[in-house]
Amino acid sequence: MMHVIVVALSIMMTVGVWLFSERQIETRIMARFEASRNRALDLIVDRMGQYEDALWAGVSAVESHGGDMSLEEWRIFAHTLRIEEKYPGINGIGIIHYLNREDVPAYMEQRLAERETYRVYPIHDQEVMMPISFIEPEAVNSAAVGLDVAHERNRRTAALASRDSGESRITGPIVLVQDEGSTPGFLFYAPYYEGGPRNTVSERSENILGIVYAPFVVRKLMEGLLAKELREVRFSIRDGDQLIYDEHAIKDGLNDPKPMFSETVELDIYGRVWTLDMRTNLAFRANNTFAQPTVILLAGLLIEGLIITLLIMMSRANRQAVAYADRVTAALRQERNKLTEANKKLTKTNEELEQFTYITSHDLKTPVRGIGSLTEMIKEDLEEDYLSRPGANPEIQENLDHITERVGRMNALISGVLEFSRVGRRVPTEASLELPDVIDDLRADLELRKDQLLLEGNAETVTFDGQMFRRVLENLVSNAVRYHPETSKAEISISIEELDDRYRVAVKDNGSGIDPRYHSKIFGVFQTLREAGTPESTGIGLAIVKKAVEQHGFSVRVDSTLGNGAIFRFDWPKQAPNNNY
Amino acid sequence: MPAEMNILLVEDSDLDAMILERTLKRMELPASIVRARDGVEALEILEGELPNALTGQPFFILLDINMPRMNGHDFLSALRSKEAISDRLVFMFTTSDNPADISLAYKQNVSGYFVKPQGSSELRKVLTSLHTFWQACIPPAPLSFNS
Repeated sequence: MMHVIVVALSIMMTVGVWLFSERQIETRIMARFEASRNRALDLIVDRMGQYEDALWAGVSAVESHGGDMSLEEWRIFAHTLRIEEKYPGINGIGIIHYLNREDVPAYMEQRLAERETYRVYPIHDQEVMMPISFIEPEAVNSAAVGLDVAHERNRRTAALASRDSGESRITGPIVLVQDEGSTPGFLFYAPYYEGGPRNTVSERSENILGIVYAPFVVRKLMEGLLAKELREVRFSIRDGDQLIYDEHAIKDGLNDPKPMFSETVELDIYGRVWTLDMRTNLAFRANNTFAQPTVILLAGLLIEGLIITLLIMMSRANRQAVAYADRVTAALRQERNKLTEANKKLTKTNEELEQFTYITSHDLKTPVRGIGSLTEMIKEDLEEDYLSRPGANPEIQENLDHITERVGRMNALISGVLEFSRVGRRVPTEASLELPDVIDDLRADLELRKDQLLLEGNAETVTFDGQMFRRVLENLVSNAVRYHPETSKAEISISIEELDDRYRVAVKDNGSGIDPRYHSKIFGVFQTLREAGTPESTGIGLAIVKKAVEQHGFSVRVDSTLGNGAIFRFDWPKQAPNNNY
Repeated sequence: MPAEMNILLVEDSDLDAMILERTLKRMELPASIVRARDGVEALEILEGELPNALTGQPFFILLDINMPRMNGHDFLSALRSKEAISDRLVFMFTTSDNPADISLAYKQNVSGYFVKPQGSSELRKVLTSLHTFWQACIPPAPLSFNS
């Protein structure tokens, strides 16, 4: 069914749009996450790069002093560097001297000359010693002064790696001596050699003088990196198995227990590999939760619901309308069948009635004529014998005459009924009628002078059913003459106008007129306005006129008032109508 | 030119037959009437199966339409289809003035169509006309029956 297809398509479309918009948004969020992630990584790398620059600046400073700087000179350098302002996150910047055991006494002399309290600690049995000579600002780093970084593996390994590679290196996780919080940290090293940079490992290890270094507390470093409140991505950092930094543990209500995105990134950084576990936070979720697809889906489903409801209602209304139409149609059909049936019955009854009328009236003629003949015979016989006697009863003669007269009237009535019934039984013909001939015949039959009966109008011929048209005119004109108070003064005009599809006929007389209250009555069978008695007045003539005109689909009417004559008007067809009679 | 009107009257009504005979008698016209009560009887007479007075005489037929067993129209069809008697002279004499009846009768070649008149004076006119016609006309040859 069409409806189902429409709904299915429309639901598919809604779901399609929903999925598409979901996909779009997801892609967009993914891109945002990647951007946030990359920004955080870039910041780390950039910042470390800046710190490295600061270290190499230290290296340059040392080398510009011929590979050896005094405490005072280093203080000036560090002060000039303005590390607190320029390098937030850095704890300080200092110099570690690389000492073989035999170099220690000279070194110590130099240091003690700068300050009396200087000493190197802790004691260890490594071949080389790498004491922190200076660290600025010293106030916060005083615990580190004199610390021999060679004593501990992480510090030492990175320092030696830096020495051998000639590049900057960071240590694995350590706890800075100056960090009271004992949180994870690392040292950042940049080596300097006697006579500047060296090209081979052996040259480097022979000529190494020291290391410019910076200690870092990871927490501080990252805090200086970018306020985590402004970030949508949080991360933790592992160096090997050791967690050195962790934002996920911070309970500030912004951590997302089920981050929308998370990713583990390995970062190669100055000889170490940091594993960053990056996760989106609630701010990211808030900024990237889009109601659009849901709204699209809900709105679509709402529209679907409306469409389905509408379709259901339409279908129900349609069903009801169809059912109603069916009922009405059935009722109409039944009604029509009834009518058809009734019509058939009526037609049949009518036919039977006309047949009956014809046969009975025909059969009536015989006995009536018999009575007339017998009466005449009796009269003839009596005239020859009894009636010619002087004492004969004259009433016998009179009553016999009355019988004859009544028989005559009866005959006239029967003939009228026969003719009337024949109007309905006959089939009209195309036979035409010449009007002037009819007028001549009528004048002759009714003994009228030429001026008493006139033909007017533009028609000369009637082209359809001339025979019946003649009967109609005969009836109307003979009525006009018969009922005229003074026959010799009767004036009748017949007007026949030819129109497009019909003749318009008016028969006008100057007789005594007909009272309007009888107008409908005069066209009935056996209706005559004269009291019975005159043999000619059967009351059938106008009934025949009416029946003939109506048989052709028109009607006849009379315009008349008492004393002003009468006009009978009717139309007559020019050709056979299409329907059957 | 026959002197006497010999009539085969095909008429079921005794009264009509009586009136006709009486009128002829009162008019003192020379005539003889052989009567058949319907078409069947008329055919039997014409084919010599019934004794009759028409043998060897010129005659004409006065034919009614409404009759039992075989009506006037059927009788006419039967008559015209029988070679030996199809030339008979027939006048219709009936109550019917229906144009259909009139037309049908003439199609079967009747010599005249009379509607039975209402009064005896009218009947006399018809009979006078018939007599005049009969005297002036040459009828088909008489039938010679084998009986």
